[in-house]
Amino acid sequence: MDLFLQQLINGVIIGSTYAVVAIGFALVFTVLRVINFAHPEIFMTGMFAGLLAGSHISDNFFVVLIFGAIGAGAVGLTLERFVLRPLRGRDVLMTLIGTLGVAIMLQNGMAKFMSPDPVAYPKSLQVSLLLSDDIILTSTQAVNFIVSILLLAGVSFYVRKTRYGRATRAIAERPDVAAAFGVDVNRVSQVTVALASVMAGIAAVSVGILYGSAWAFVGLFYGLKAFICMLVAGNRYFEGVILVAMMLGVIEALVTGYVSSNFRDVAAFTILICVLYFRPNGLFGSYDT
Amino acid sequence: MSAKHQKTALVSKMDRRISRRALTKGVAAGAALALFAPPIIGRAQAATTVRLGHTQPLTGPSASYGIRGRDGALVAIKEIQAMGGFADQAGNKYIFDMTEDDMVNDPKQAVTLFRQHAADPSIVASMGPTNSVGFLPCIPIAGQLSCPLVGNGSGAPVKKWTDWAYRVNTVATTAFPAMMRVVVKEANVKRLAVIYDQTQDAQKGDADLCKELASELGYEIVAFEAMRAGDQDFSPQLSKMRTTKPDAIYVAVPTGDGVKVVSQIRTFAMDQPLITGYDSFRDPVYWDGTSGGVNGGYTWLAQDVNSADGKLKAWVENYNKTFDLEATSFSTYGYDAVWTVAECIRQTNGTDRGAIHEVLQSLEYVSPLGSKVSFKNPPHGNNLTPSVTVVQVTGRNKSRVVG
Repeated sequence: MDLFLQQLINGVIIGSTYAVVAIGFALVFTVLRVINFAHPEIFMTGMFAGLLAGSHISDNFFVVLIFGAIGAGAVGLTLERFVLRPLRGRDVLMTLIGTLGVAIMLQNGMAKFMSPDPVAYPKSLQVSLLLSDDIILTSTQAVNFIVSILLLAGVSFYVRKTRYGRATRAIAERPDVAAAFGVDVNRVSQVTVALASVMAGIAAVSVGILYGSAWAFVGLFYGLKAFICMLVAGNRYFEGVILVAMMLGVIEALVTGYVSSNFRDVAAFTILICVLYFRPNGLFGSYDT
Repeated sequence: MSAKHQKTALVSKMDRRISRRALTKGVAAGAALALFAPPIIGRAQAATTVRLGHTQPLTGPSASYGIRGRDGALVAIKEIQAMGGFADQAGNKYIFDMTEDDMVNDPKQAVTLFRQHAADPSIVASMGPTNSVGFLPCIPIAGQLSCPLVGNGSGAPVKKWTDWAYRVNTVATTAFPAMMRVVVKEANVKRLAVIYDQTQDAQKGDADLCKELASELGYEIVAFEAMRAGDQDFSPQLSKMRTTKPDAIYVAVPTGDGVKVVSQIRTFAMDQPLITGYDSFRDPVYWDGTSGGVNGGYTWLAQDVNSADGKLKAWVENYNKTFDLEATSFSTYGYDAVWTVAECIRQTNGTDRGAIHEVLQSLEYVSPLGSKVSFKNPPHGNNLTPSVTVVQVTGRNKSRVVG
């Protein structure tokens, strides 16, 4: 029972981070109709922005978090202005290759600029054990989870209750009609990319503190899992993406705990293949593209 | 002015023109002689430049090995250049020029780069990669394309060798049992947990060796957990491992991911001694990345560069001044590989690949650092006389020799 509870905790915590990155993917895909392959690297940039702030300005948790958000947001906006916007309306492959190129540049640029190896993260939070000797929940795990949940709640509020959120959904449904009714598509795209990037930056700092290191290639891992979550859930309901991400984290943890760690990734891809076979638009449906 | 005077003036002007042209020609010829003659004369005596192919994981999770391997090779190349080249038995002198190709931890890329080296007739041999995931797939290609391959760090078991492939470094099958005999006794290991990278041949090989040696050395494998290169979260594996209460944990993971694994092991309040291969724990990247989490950990290496004396000490000091990443065993492997190819050229009096291949098959050589390199292939291309040192990490760039 202890092992089950422990793996449940592990799964929910990693799942919450998958969810934040997956929501970023889904937001951009919904509004701009492009798969932003640079999104995981924006996450990575936020992680390093936080690391630099923690090393050179202050290792206060909130300072690191704010700089992570600013760093990722700045890269996201630059990407939107110089890659996504000029390529809007062109063949989808061009945007795909464009964002992939930016991803590779960011990855290898950061590896060259900082280090190809993991770099120790500032200790902005004390690591302490919160539960018992048999079930471990560290303070950093708890903070990571809380940060992710707050971000997810925030994005849900934004999409449902704000003017820009309604515009986001309108563009997702019919961009041409939304534009005809006066929705500023450029502005909404910009805000969407900025929001997704800032969320990724904050989550990345939280992950850096949780695992104690930042790595130039960290985006690959989260990008792959988040992409799977978005495909499995579909992009119509962001809450669906969150649910699938949490489930994926828990399934991976339970497979590792009770079957074999060799099959951890097999589980994720098996779910993906099954869902795409039976429900090609995802479990909760997708907007038409 | 009269017509005669005009003509005289014209001739005089032409003379002056001719005179200036002649002067210009003379100066140009002199300058050309001054500029080009010495190299032409010198070329007969200068060293021939020989190209080496060198592939390494310069980015990605194994970059800390690859960069050291490349930097060690660069030291050897600069050393040879500084001494005006090395001479073969006929007195011909050679210096090296080397490619620096990045395989990005991708076996397909390693094979592509090796094929490029083989296709380039100016390249006499290809060196690297330090990681087995890149070196192993190049072995059969070396035989197919008849291009010598000299590895400088890969330690994973090789199922089928060709007599065109070699590696100068110590390999796991030799070093691992030697290390485990010492560590099991020293740390009183009865219950061993293993976490390994299933995508890396060398690390998978280490994990399998942990199992194979269990009964012989008297320990039990209580956890055998896999991960993949690039994974970020190991809490499911470590939670399971923690319930088995191991005496020690073998971390068969390359440095890039190993830093993350060790950090999380310590976060999970697991303070058991850690063990790994290939000199990894002594890498300052490990110490810095885990904030000292590898303290007390054991590893094996060919030469203890930290407690080195004499020539190796001076070499390490010079290396550390030159490069960003400090010297490890991989640096010496990179260095030894270049000198091994140099020795082959010296013995063959030329740069023919076939002749180099023949020398490699039964080479006996001691590098300028004192590393012994000897091959007898067939049956295999492993260095037959490797040195193994077992150390325990006691600080950043600090370790004590335990066997």
